[in-house]
Amino acid sequence: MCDSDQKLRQALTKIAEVARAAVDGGPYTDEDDSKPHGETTRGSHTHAHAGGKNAHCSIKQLPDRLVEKAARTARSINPVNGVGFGPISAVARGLVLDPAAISVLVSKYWGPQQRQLTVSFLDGGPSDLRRRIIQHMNAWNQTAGISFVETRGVGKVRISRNQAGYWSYLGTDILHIPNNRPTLNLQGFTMNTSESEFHRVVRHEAGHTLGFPHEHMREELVARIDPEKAYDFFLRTQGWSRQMVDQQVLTPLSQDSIMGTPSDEDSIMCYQLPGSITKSGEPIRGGIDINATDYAFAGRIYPKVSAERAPSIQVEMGTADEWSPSEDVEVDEEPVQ
Amino acid sequence: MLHVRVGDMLMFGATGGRVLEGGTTVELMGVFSPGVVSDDGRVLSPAGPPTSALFRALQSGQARIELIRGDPWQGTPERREIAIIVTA
Repeated sequence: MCDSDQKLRQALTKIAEVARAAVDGGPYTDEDDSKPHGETTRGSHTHAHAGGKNAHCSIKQLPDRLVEKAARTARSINPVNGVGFGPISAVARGLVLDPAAISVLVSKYWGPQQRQLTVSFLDGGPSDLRRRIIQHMNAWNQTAGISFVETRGVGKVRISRNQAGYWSYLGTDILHIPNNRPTLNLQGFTMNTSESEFHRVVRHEAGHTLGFPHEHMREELVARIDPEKAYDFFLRTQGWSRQMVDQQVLTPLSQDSIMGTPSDEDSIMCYQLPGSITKSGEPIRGGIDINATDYAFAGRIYPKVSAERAPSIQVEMGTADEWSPSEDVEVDEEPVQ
Repeated sequence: MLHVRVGDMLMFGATGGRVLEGGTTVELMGVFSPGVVSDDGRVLSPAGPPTSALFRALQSGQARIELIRGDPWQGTPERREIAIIVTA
């Protein structure tokens, strides 16, 4: 890791600490700065202020009409600020940027609120198959605060089994797909499909619906691939042009488009890539099921907030200050050079 | 055996494809993923391998193409050859 990366990680860790301290009900203290690198402080912090003992620092909210504009401003100043559509401190609660293994595309993230996504099946299918598919999609719900539930109407997630391939649109992108089109495809899945394929494929595609991109597109894993070997391999096996191989295999995800740090070749979101296309000859193993780090990351990025906890976060976050729209300040969104 | 006319486009559900014989008769335009233009102008495309192989009939004659389906990342892809006759 280069020096600038190290500094960026330290800065992000500090931001997460500050945000978490705010959510936990206590202000971030300078004492935290004196802790050795890597040591984090958990639990709430309180100390005396001029305003009285246990005075809390609450984060004020902008009026609703300015939230989107403020997010654009934040992102134009620093792409890292594109990390969510909800309060940053709620996103960051419990999220210290330790090695997190998988990643989420920040522009397609569902946000930290608990949520249920409706699912419908465009080509029907027997009830036991529909139930089995949803059961595997809900494997993520073991740690994540998002679940999938079948609806008789038009689901936000629409599954087909008669189109080619296994694929899914990413995260909130599914909301832009016309209602008569699938957002997730499981070519040829039936009750006769092996259980291991349900683990490997259905859970992988559900991960895309949660906004998780392909892990093998991470910079660290792409760097292990020998481009010439990859061009030759995919031309032989698929007839792909060099351009297609560039798109599918050799173009890493932009670092400012994702949350999540080091890559994990055992993640469910990582495909298997053969040793014949890597520089070292070692294959990229690829995941066959949601692994422990996948679960941990999903739980951090989509926290399961208890019903008792949710109102307290609302209180800690404060209510929106109101002022007349005529007093709104126009911000030049061009980055300052 | 497929009979088509010059200028016809042939789209197959496949992750890959190639022209085995008759490259001047039929050409592979490319292998594509589905896409949707979103209301904000972005082109959205699903994560996953491409799903459609697109060929074009260029001139009269015969050609043989190969279609490849299945997971490109592992296992043995399913291959199928198709003979094509192009008429004016």
